[in-house]
Amino acid sequence: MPESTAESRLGEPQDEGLFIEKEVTVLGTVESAFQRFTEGIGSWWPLATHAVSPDDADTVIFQTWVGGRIYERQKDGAEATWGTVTAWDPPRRFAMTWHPGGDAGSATRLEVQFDEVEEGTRLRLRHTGWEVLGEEATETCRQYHKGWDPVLARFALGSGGPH
Amino acid sequence: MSTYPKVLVALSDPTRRALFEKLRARPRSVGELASELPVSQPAVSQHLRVLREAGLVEWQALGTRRVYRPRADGVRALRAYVESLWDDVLEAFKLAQDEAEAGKPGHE
Repeated sequence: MPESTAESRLGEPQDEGLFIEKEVTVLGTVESAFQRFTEGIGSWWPLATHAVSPDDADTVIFQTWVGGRIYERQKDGAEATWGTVTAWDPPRRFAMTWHPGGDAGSATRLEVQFDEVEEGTRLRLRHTGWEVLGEEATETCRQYHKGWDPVLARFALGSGGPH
Repeated sequence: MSTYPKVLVALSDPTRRALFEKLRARPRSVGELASELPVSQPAVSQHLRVLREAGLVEWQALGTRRVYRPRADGVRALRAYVESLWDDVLEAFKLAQDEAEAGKPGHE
């Protein structure tokens, strides 16, 4: 029940005040989905549009252990770190910091969970840790949070963004 | 969400994303930003103008300096950006995963 999830977060501390949650259901076992999402990330990540240097990015590498890095390797061999694995529980869940193009000090947090469903595997992605935006921004997040719930609910229901 | 496309354009540039990330960490002047990134001061100013027009940053006069910081409304814009990032990423993942699985023996 995604709607009630957003609802229940309203009273929580600023840490969780703003979060983004996405779900997608794919074919295959959790093992297969988990493996492709992590170790196999280089085979599907849309680097042409989503990379620190879209013009130079060659591939993405996911080091599959706690403390491992997720980074983009560029054509000249240079690397740009996207984040670091903080929890590794294959094939159910992993968590990482998220700071592509920025330093670790401004990292947000990403958690991805894989669950078996009738059609295959349901992936749930949660992007939290927006308190790094700073005090003023966090205050704003809290004020806006209520206003964001309907927006979130719409996304959660799968109507998608303005594509 | 009228600023949505402007924000996407503003953040589609790696240098501007780097500038925005820097300012998210703490407010900085144009000079500071130019010294921390391999970008000239005029180029930084130009990029900051784009970020400002997208509503992502604002400046404040501090003595003779202009200090740039993320704008409160920019959070909403950023959220729209992050939403679209994960929509794109999960769509790409679904496409790859479904295609690979459909090709396996035992599937139609």
